[in-house]
Amino acid sequence: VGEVCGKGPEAAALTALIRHTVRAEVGHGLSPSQVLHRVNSAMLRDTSSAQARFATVAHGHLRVSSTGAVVRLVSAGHLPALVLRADRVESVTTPGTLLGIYPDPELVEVEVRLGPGESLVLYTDGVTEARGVHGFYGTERLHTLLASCAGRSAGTIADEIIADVTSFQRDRFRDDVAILVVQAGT
Amino acid sequence: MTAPDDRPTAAPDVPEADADADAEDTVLWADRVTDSSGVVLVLHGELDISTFALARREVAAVERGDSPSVLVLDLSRLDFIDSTGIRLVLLAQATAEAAGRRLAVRLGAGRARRLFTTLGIVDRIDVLDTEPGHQPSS
Repeated sequence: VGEVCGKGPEAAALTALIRHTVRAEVGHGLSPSQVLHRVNSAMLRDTSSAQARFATVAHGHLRVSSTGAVVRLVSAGHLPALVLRADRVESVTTPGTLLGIYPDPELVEVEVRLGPGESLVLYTDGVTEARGVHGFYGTERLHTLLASCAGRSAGTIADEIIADVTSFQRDRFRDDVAILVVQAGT
Repeated sequence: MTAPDDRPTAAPDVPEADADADAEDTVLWADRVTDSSGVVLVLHGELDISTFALARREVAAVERGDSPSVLVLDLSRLDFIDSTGIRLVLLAQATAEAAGRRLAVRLGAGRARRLFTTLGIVDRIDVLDTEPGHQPSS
């Protein structure tokens, strides 16, 4: 899940560059952090850092086992991933630098283990920065909502988040929203 | 300095490359303080894609007019800032470096600091203030 700063044709072109670079480099068997280093290099080749076009990306490799799933996750300045275990929500905070500006971004991999039925949730700031009459949606409301989603499927969890964010800002979206829910099978 | 009473609203017809902003009712205004060490531009209101062009104009006016040896962007008073604010700082930093000048920021303890921390660039830009309770490493 990623987010490019800005809107319009330049942002769309950068999004395409990131998407295709990730897909190509994953096929080379690189680690998640190596993939994002390659993405960063591609962005620096494509745009001058003086233009300050950057992106935040959360990227992971998923390995499924008989006891659940293991995700090796790296965050390039992206919002913390959330993990739902029963009705408990954990925040996965990993240090990381945005992509497209610096030749040496800090990219640290962490391992997230998901037991049967547990979920990993990635999202963009269109969720947490949604605005309603009582202020911003915020991380606290997202945590509370997720905790209420115990036992639901990945698709239902994503639908619940979208529905709540939509309702919160009375159908008036200021920003686009991306949500990815990965759930280990039971 | 633009006084709060006559603060401009973000206009949809801003003549900037990033004028792809949504027409929104958000506002941004700036106070400019000049002293012997340079210029401090204090931004107020909301800094997002709908006010980005206005913020760029405020910064460019200082860069062109005063050409200070030190320009400080104070983001600590903003009610809202998103990743657009990061871009504002990075662009100002590039301009300052090209001109052999210094660009620094104030982040305060709220939303601006959380944003710059999340995106991992607090240690890569010149931040003048520290988070309350922060102990500098020896």
